[in-house]
Amino acid sequence: MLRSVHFTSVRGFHSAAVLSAKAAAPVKKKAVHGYKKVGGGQSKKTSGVGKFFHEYVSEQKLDLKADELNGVDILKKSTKENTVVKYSQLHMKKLIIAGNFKHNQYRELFKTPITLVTKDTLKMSKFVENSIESSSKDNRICILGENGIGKSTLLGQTQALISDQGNSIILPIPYATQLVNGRNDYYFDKNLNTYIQPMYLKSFLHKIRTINQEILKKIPIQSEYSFEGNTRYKSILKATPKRDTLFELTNLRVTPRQRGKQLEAIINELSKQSEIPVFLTVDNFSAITSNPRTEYRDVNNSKIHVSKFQLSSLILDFAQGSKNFQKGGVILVTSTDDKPSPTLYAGLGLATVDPYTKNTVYDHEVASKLKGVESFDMSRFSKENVSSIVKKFIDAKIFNNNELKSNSVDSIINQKYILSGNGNPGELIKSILFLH
Amino acid sequence: MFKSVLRVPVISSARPAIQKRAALFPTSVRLNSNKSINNDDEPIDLAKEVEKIESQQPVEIETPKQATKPEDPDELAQQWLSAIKDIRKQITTEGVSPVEKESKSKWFEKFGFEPTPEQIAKMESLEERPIPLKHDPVVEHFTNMIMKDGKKARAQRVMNNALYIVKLQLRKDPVEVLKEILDKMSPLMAIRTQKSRAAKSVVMPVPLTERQRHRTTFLWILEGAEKRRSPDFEVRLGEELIAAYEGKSSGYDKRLQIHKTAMLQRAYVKLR
Repeated sequence: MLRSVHFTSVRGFHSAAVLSAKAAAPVKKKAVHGYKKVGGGQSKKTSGVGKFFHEYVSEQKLDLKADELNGVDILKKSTKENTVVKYSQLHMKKLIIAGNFKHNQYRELFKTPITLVTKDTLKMSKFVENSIESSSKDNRICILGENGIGKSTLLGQTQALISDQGNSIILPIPYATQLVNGRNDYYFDKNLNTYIQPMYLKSFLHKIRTINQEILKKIPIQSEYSFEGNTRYKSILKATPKRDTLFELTNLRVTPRQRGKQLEAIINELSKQSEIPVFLTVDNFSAITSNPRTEYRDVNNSKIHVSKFQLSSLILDFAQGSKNFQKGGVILVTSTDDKPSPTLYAGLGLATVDPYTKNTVYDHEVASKLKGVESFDMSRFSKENVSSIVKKFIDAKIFNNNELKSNSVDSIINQKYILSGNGNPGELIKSILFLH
Repeated sequence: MFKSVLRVPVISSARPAIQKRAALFPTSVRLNSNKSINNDDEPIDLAKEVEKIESQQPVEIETPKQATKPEDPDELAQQWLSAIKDIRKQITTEGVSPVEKESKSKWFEKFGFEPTPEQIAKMESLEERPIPLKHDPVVEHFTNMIMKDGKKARAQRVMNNALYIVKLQLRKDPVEVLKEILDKMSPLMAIRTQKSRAAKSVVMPVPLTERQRHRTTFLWILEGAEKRRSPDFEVRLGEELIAAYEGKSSGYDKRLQIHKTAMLQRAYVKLR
């Protein structure tokens, strides 16, 4: 149906003065400052910090308000069992960049976070010692344990012990959930025949570069690589042997589309060299085993399998041993945030799976790649461990005054040992902080 | 009145099934039923059964004799009073213990546990001490005020996190901080209006109990917390508690206003 709007360019039959008049200027709205009022009667919220609880606690620099705790040594290889230690400044810097500290670890209670050396720490220390001199294929470990038992803390201790060796490289993946939860950008690289996550790779390469800066400068590259540059003036970036080291290779500003190629080059160089041990550490690894069919979707709108992603398949290959560093190890850490899946336990050889289990529940491809990985079940704190931690908390004035007045130290230790579920560290801290 | 002797018929031992049923369910037999009660083939001759029962001698059952009551009401009252005095004396001297002393030894025997003299001494020393409360009553009161729709665990989480923020910011015991806020901010009186008979409303100051005072303060703190910016309630509450501790909360103005009004209207205070 034809309407008058279709003939806007056509001159009207009427020639009144109103039609040729200039259109009225639009009425300017008054600029509204501050927050919009929602729901009419709600008042304007002005004061206070607009952050969520975990952001508030971790980002407000509350640890600076704590007093320095005296008599705490720095974590070393020679530290004995059942001693409370802290990290050195260099370790702290590396661990923060590696993303080891999580929101819910209550580290803001102390000026420098403290940890306890347990028998598990000593086991991991031995593991690090062995893996410095042998292939990563022989040193593959998966840390298991209940919620709050200190798996991520043990990984932090292990990373500190690795960096304490002075001459080894860490490739940290602090939160493997990011590889499968569909939150990063991704595209299919036809040359590499895998899916690439450019923005995640950017942060990953940054971590590798900053943590291992000094050591990477010692490793000369063995092959020549060329990439498309990210800047207008340098269209082609090259890394040539005898001139460049691995640090230069990681430091190249390549286009986001070439980051997959850059990572492959770095891994290739690291696996070729035989002098420096390399450790691949993956926290929240259970995200990969629990969600093998990721939240990312392909052109047919079907979920992409985890093995089709570059970084995830790299982790699984190193876990399998099909790819390996000549010296080093692979440390996988599970998390109870992810739903428990038979894929992990069957892969580690801890459980058998019913042959009629659905593909959605059990992924044979992923499970088969975990064969040969040593499982390491963490143990709870002993009573001695609880007592040493409780004494440090009393020194740091974290206990409520009423609790200290009405109980002796021994009775507090006994109480906390029971309240923490016979030595669960997470529950122990909660019982100290949140029993008002 | 009760009869001292009850006639209980002793039924013959020939039909045990009937006896049991009759004893258990005396009214379970439908009188107009065509069916026989028993499952046996023999029909029952009711007339014979009645004859049998009547021929047997009744068994005497003695009812327990009641304590003799004094007829004089004064004497009865005296008995009551003396009994009450005895009980009161017993409570004041021995105290009321939920677990009797004798039963403890029974428990040890039951589980085959023999305590050492040290353990017994420790047990006796602990007997005097009261059982500690699970939660601080003030914190519990505030938690209950935060709670909505009966979700106590959620309220406890909010409360714990708010107190954790207080602890981190001030580096003091948060429960003590909360109690100090209550001491400083709680109003002593409340203002209530009452209609008088002469169509005139009277503004009347009313004294508050400790719990009522705390409640008013908590309401003011919650009101102040709602005006803060954070999307998390625990952060808003924690910040408001810190502000209240530092004397910056709007609750202090409200308290002052109430006290001023109460002073003006002090003529209407009711004294009993």
